[in-house]
Amino acid sequence: MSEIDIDQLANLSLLNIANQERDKLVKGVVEVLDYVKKVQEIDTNEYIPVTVSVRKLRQDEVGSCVDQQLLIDSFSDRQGDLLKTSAINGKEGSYDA
Amino acid sequence: MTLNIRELDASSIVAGIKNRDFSCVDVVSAYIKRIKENADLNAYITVCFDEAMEKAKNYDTQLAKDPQSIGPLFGLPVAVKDVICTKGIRTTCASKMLSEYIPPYSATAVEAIESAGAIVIGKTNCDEFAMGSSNETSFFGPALNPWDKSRVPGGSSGGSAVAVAADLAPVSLGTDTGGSVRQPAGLCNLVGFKPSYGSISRYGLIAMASSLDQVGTFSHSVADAKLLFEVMAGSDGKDQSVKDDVVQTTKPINEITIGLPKEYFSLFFDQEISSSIDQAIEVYKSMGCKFVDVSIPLADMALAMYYIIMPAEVSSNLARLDGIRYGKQAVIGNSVSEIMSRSRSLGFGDEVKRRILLGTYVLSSGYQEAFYGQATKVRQLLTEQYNKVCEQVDLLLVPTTPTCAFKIGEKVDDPLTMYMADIFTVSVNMIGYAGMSLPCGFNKENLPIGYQLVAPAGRENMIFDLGIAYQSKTNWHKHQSPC
Repeated sequence: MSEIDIDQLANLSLLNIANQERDKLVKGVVEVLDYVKKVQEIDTNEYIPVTVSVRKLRQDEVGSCVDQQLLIDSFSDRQGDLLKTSAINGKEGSYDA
Repeated sequence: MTLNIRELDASSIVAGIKNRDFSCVDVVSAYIKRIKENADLNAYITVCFDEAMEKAKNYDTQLAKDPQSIGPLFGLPVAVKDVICTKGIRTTCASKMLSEYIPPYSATAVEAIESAGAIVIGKTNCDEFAMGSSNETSFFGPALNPWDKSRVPGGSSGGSAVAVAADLAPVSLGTDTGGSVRQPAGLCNLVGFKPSYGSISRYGLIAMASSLDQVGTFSHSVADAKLLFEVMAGSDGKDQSVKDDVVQTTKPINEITIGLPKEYFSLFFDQEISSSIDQAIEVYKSMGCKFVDVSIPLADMALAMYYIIMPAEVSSNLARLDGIRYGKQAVIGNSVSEIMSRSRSLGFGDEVKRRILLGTYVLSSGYQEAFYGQATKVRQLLTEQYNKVCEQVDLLLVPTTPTCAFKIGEKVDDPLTMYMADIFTVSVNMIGYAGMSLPCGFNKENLPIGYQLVAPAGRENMIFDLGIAYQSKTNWHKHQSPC
């Protein structure tokens, strides 16, 4: 694994990589990819890819959830029933509670 | 009974409270005193002294009124790793991203211990989002090993290990995704127990890698680990991976057969660790256990598999932390996507970014089948090999770590070398088994050494029985750290 397209990877990952951290991050990622590719040497023709199995699904029923007021109270900044967020495009935004 | 908290395990503390030898307030006060005296260890990110004292006073009143109503952890202070949600108590994941997050609910594991009478005394330091083997990736700085403050306590649950090793809490909760309970337990002379996957609900555990994460415990004694496990195990209806149909089996100690996988013992690890494990094996032999050499050919592939599957799950689980849906928001940005990218870049540390990038790579078009798909197939093969061996033997005995605690800063700039610290622990998570690290000696520098007992789901009680028998014959777990 000689090189990776770090800009494309960062874009997919929703990360901005600063110039001063770029070399260190690329080196670490390349070293790890070089190490882990040895799994490709194993013969797995008889297997299909499987993630973790869910043992049972719960019934599709309406259940209780966290109290709405607790969620509102946990917001870091609010004004009355309005939850304040930081500015986007230079304009202050808010969501109605 | 006098209250010397450095001499008492959890069971003795609960018994002492029940017998009125001392009060809940006495116990909580004693731990608060030790936490304040040892603040330099950086074991805790957040302490809850006022809440803990209030609860202790209420419990003392309750005990006076109704002595029969108390639970198995009544009045017991417990430290909780800061990736496990605690209602009303800041839960940061040791990250700038969640440095102000106060959960509106508690994790099932926390609710379980509190229902049994435990008192949460604080939230412990750890690697950021539980990603690390040394506690050095914490936004709040590293926790220090109480056996040598210039060394790491291990990770990611480093603060939970330090809290118990320095007697800043009698027991603590950690999480173990690739060894994050067992490895620090080994480096801090503790019992570190990772139950089998699906035995304790992960509800309220802020996910790192969902197919690997499991709540675990730190304690001085195996009996305390068993006590906590019995309180927390079982289904809560909120985690569909929880198995509530597993039957626990055990057998007399002298009928137990223990396997020694040759692939583990052929890997490089310190000679002093090897000698201490040999002595532990002799203790078991003296109790009548039978040992056989076994082979798990893919065991040395586990770390490579782990560093594909774990980052893939990390990149998915942490995608929601973008400053809009969850997490600290960067103030400046010209678009929503720019706000998200800036928030993530400012909120995450280097190790988290590295694992997100790795995970994104192994899941990306063109590489997914060769990396992630292949790793999930090899994971099935590895599981089959372990299962086959565990049809012949009851448990496995393997090292916990290749070295004793290393110096702070020694490996932090070399991720691959750091990852090797987990080489003996990751398999257990990959196959969903239970694993326990137990103290078995010290090296010439007086640094602790541990070994693991490993078994499939349903043989947790066999691990407990063996561990309790081992600790009845040895005193390693009674050695106190200098702090």
